[in-house]
Amino acid sequence: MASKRIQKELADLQKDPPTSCSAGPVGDDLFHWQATIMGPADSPYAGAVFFVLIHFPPDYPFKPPKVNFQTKVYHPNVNSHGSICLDILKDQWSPALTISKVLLSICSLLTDPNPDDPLVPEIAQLYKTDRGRYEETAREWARKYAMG
Amino acid sequence: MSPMSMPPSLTKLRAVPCRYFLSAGGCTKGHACPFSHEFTISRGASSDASNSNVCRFFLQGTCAYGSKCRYDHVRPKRLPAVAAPCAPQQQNQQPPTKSQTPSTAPASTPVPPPPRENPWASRAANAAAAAPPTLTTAAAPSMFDNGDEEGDDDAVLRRERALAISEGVECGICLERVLAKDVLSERRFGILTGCSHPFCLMCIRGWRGTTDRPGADIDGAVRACPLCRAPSHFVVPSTVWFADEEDKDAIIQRYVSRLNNIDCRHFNQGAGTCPFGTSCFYRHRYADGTLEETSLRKYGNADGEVNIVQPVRLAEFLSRSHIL
Repeated sequence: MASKRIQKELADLQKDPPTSCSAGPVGDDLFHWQATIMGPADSPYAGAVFFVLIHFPPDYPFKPPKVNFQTKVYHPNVNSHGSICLDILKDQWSPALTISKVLLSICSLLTDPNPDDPLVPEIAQLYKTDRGRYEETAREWARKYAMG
Repeated sequence: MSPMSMPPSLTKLRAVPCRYFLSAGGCTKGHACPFSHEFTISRGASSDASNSNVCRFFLQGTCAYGSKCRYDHVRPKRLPAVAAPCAPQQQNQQPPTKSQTPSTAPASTPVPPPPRENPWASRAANAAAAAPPTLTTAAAPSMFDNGDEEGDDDAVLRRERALAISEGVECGICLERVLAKDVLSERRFGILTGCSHPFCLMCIRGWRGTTDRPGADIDGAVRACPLCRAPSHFVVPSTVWFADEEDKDAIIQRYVSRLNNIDCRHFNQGAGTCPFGTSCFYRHRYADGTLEETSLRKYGNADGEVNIVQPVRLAEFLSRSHIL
């Protein structure tokens, strides 16, 4: 079930690739993917390219995939290990979601952080109190770690 | 496994239809099953009861499960003559090879999905071929209809429409066409009561069974539709997808009324306790034949809401008093 569904998702991704991201297996292991996400234009991450690692559990899609940033990101919902705080990757996971939809959700999380459920409280605090300084730092990190 | 690679004893089994494959639960062995998973095996002059969901032990008079049996306990009517294909009671819309009288097919018999190759054309093919009774002919008519609707033009049209719709329907979880799945027994829909999004029975049951996942949101996600998150209390198995709400209600009604003819194994004729209480779909009947009468104790609270008092168990009372 799992490998068949992953193969189907891969075929769909190749047939109709999303505009702002791409994804595919690393080597021969179908359950271990790497993806790239382009920083959304209307965010401080514009122009950056983030690498993301995806691990599918053996009982996918009944359990959510594990998704981690490989590139450092300054964001209230992404910590220094690259872990992402996103409800659809945890308790709100649904087997009807696909990797393409998950990557799209991460894109919109980059544009609209959720400071009320933060993974890094300091960044969330700064996002709420001094938006300008948050955007400045986020731009600087993106330039430093996610470009070139 | 191809018949060529099997030992001779197993090759013989290939000709024998799998008993579980045609039952409501399907065969759990799938491809590994040594018995045949085909619908079109000719049964020759064998009893038509073997084609349906009728309990063979009941027919021998020795079913140990009695009224709790998951198979149908009905005695099929024998056909008057071997020349069944020309039997006068056949309806004009039905294939002439159909050798079963409508009354032998119980109205709510869960029937496996259509055969592998072009299932929608199979009935026409059956009509053309003067074949002995086959599993296909037995299965097709009772798939969607109530027995009493057979022959009715409107019912036939509805069935044709439902079959045509079902063919292209994709499961929202495995993303495959349900009626094109590799394993025949997996070609069944699971209908949610809360919305009209299609899934395979296996996929939606698999998802709803993940309540032990750490951090799972049981009511908000697991018991909800994976696509629209509308909550549903139960899943109804069906071999066809529905065209409209009326069809859907009919399928659900048929399923519920079928279960209501089977005695609940938890209730166990009054000897046990059913965890589903008044919501149970199975029949709560005592050994003397009387049905359980449920009088719910209700009370209204200050806000005017009416609540139902659960039966008090001694164990719960003791554990509560221990904490206090």
